[in-house]
Amino acid sequence: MAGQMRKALTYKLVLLGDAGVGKTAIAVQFVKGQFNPFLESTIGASFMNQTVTLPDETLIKFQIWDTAGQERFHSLAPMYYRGAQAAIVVYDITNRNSFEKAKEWIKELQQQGDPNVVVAFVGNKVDMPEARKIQPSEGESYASENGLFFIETSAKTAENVSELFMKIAKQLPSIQRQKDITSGPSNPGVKPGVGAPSKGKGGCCG
Amino acid sequence: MDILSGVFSRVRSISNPAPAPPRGPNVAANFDSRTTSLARKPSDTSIPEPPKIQIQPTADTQQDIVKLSVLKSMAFSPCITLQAKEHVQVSLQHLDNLKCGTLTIRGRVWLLRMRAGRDQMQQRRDTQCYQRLKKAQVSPIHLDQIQKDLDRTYPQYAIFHEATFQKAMSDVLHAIAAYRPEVGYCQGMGYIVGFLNTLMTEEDTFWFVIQMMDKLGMSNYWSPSLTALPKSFFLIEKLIDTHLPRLGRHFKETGMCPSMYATPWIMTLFLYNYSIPFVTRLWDLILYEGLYYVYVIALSILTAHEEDMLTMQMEDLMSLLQPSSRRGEKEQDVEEVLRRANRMKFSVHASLVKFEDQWLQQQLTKEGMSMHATI
Repeated sequence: MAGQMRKALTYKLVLLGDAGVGKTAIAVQFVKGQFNPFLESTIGASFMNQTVTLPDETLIKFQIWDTAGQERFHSLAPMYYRGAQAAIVVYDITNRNSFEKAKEWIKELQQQGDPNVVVAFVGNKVDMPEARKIQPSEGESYASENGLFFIETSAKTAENVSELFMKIAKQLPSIQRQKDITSGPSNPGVKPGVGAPSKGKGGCCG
Repeated sequence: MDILSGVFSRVRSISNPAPAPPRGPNVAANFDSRTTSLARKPSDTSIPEPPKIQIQPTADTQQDIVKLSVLKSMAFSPCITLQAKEHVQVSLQHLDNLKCGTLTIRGRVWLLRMRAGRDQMQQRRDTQCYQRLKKAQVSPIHLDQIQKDLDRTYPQYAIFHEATFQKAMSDVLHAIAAYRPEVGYCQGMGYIVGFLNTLMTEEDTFWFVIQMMDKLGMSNYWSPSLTALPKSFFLIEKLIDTHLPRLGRHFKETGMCPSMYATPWIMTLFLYNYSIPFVTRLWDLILYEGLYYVYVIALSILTAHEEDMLTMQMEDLMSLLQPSSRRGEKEQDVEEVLRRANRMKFSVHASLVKFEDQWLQQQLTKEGMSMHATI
């Protein structure tokens, strides 16, 4: 009962990556604990939320923005990653192009996103080892060069999916606390419920 | 480009008398002058005159003939009579019995409306055109994406999983990408193609979509840079602020903006958001009134939820407005949505004309924070 009384810290998280790499599947597995091989293509973006509890009882609520993967929807992406405190960049371990595309997303986030954003570099579809094209070492080394954390997941079997979000959650409050300390009391710190695109600088509706 | 062309056609209609419509009551023949611009005038009566469409008699059954006559007179009306209801409305059960690629009565009415019939389109005179196009060379990027999306389009409808149906969808999308390489394939087009293919043949579907690009201006929404989408977001936000001011304020306070929920309204003309029976009725009116009716319907839907939404925070608002997750749940009465839309259309249309000008001013002067600058 006491747990329900506590206010969750709310963070905005965005999923980015090429079409068909499993962004929606990862989000649905995390939020609903289900896998559906015939999830619809995402048109525009979709929204979900889920709360996790850290070992120290901190509640972290993720507002998850799942974006469309097709290249032409790329121009909409800044509306979703702007103001996000966390980003999951996904590629498909059976598809080289999607790996290259994921690296482009990382570059864009480094240039355009919030410098404090927690970025996870995720190789999905490890349930298909026979079709693997990207070795874990390759993903890992790219991630470490760029200061990201790396994990391989299967949205199908749920392998490492909740671990992915827990790992992000654990990094978030510490960053926030650091920020609060360095910027002093004038910094409002975490604002629960804030993080929608329009609240950010240069909101999506101008 | 679409902005200019929209304004151009409006200016033309003001400065010069509109080109005299062809004689006779054939609505299909008047189509061009009615639907190219968003700012087309709504029909003058509160209940539009039912369009009279000439349809060549074919080997119809008696039942078909009745349905045809009802659809011809009633489908485009926002206020169908009780007797017409069973003919005009589509049931899910009906959908289960669908055979893909068969020309239905509604398909015939729509084809005429869109001027996509064989004898209405110059390009269709070449009967081999479509056959060649579906085998023509197309960028592998498009083909790959089309294949990826086949299983991911309307997965809840059995017919969309059938191999022959998927083959037809893939062929039509291939042909579109070949015919309109500057548009190629855009996610969301699969919904349009699949839906139309439940009402008409594969070749009809292809030409219908081409007419949607040209006559309704959909190519501007599906183009690689989604050119017209920012304008749509701008228009929707302005319309909400004007016609539902309480909701407009609440949306701002909760951080809601059209880019979060309205993309599929525009890009799939509601197919991504609602069930096929529901959207079929919306399309009856959109095809009759023109693309501006998408905004009228959007406002009608928002109005129905307004009181509920005023008490919701962003997360609940999103789950209410969000596509697909709610499809198949209890939907609003579509006829009520259309009746309400009909009551609002004049004022919404007037606002749209004004806001389109504002948008254009923003674009021309580069003042303020236009969508383009934001993106």
